[in-house]
Amino acid sequence: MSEKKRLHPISVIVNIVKQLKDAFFPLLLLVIVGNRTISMMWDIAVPSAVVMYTIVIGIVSWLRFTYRLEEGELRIEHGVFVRKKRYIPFERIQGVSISEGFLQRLAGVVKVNIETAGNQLGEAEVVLTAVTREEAERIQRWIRKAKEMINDEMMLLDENTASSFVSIHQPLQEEAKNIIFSMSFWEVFQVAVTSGGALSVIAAIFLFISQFDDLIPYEMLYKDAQTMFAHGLFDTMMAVLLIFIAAYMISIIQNMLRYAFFTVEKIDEDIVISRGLLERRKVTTPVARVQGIVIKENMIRRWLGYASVYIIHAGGALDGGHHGSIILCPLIKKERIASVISSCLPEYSIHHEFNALPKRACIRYTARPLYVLILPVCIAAYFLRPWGLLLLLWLPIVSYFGYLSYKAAGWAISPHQLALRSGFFNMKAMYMLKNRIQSMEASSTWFQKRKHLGTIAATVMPGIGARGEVADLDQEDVKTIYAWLKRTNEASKVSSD
Amino acid sequence: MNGEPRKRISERALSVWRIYGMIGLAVSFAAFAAVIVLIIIFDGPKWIIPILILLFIGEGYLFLFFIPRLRWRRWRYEVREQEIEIQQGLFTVRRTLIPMIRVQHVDSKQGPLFKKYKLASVTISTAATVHEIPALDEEEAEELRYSISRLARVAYDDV
Repeated sequence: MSEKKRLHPISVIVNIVKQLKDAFFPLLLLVIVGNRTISMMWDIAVPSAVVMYTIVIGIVSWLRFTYRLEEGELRIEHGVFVRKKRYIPFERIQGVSISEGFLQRLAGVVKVNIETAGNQLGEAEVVLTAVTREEAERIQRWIRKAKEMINDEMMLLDENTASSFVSIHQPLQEEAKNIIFSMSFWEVFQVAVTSGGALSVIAAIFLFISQFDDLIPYEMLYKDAQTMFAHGLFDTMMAVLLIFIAAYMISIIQNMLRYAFFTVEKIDEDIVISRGLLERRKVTTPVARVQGIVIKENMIRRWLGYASVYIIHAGGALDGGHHGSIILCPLIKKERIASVISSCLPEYSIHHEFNALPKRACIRYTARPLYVLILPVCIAAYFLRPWGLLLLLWLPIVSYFGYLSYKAAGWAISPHQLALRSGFFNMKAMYMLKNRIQSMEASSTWFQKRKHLGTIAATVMPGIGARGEVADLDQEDVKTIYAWLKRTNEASKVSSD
Repeated sequence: MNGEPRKRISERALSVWRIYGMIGLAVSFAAFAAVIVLIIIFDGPKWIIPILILLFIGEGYLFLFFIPRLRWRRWRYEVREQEIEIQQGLFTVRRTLIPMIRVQHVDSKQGPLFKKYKLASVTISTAATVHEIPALDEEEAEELRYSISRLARVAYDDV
């Protein structure tokens, strides 16, 4: 297919809507805060000119945007005033993801995001805003096939670097589709209820309010606030509580929309995750690009016997901002994790027991939360006497939490895998394969050394999420883990000597 | 774990670190002097002045002698066929293991001060992390960079 193709006409509307959405707040400000001395005509003329311009540009840029697949390259030509050509060799394409926005759904088309290797350079993605589903699948197939050919030539390409490709040996028609994991409506609801997203909604509301900074009549607001305080603290607290509840509700709805119809499939060597109600998102991750598995259990979910599973993958942010970490199972019964992982990532094993930390580490864990809290709490307790003394109760409680995180912390090694677990409120267990670990760090502070303890950390990818760390292991255990990464090297050294 | 990494960094690192320390001290000297002057002008409690002077002397000892010495003693590295090991840290002793297959590239760099002392630092990058061996002898750094990149390539081929 080498003829130039245009996107589906719905993309005109998609683009215009997007542009107008971006321009909405500046326009609103212009109209409301703008110069009042000029006649009312301006207030209508300027926005309508902007809208007209956006529409015209939207149509013209749709006309100018063409793409074609030719000579192993994706060739895109676009640009209204400046004509741009962009040729992307297939081997530079890291992944193709398909999603559907609301407008796309109306027109029965999909959006194709093509992620390229140059994501450090900013121009990471090519977006085909609206193509038919068959066309999207054809593009995917075409790219896969081309890559397969390239792969055959470059079989020896290092599999471990971030930019590696997957080898897909079976043709697409014979692919074995099997759904590994899916969630019922009830489970999705549980995810929404137990997630910590409410805080982020509150933050979003504040952000939203701050957008209107210039528009809010502060005097009136202050007056309101005064009457509010006059009505007493109770009303204010009720109002705050209401905001919290509303935020929580919004967060629940948001999460429900996000995780509705969540399914994980394994198609050949790819893990395909699709989710979403209004906007259907589909993420394809080659197994070879998975760098590690993280199992997170927040307190509420652990209590109910549930956990969530993430995979750390090298490449770009296909999952919309979640750089490096993709959610594989938002909510799963703990007993089921092992079977899900073994069917989609058979190299990993989940079931093993964790080695606990030595007893003498316990005191350090229980004391650790106190280091930062003891001074402010004591000061506050002193100044808020007599009731402030109740604050002192907080100290044994936090140190009990410290004790619980001592209980949670642990490590486990098998010949090819290292697992590190830590944290209490958000217990995080990270599973890393030996050949994915980029570097390992063993450290001990002066105090740790005195007690013969140490900290171990391993990194599989840039970013905090891709680093596992456990503090206060027995120094012998630290040495064992450290030597574990070394040993294969020594074994292979023997063979090469 | 078979002992500490064997090699040390250049002893001239001490001179450079002392110069850095001196720059830091110059700043804190200005701060101390300002406080002393203010105390004299506003007739503050004079007994603070000797304490401040003692503090300054203590800081000088710490940053010119104690810390550079300890840091130098702690800094060790070793490049073996299959891995690189680095040890560093003052209060926290940290040892880092980088498998040779994971090494993506090696840089060496040299600032003006390093150039004067014929020093250079070597930076080892993996796909996830960056590790620096500071203040090696120029030639040693060059050699190290070359040998690491060669070993890394060999390790690559083996896979």
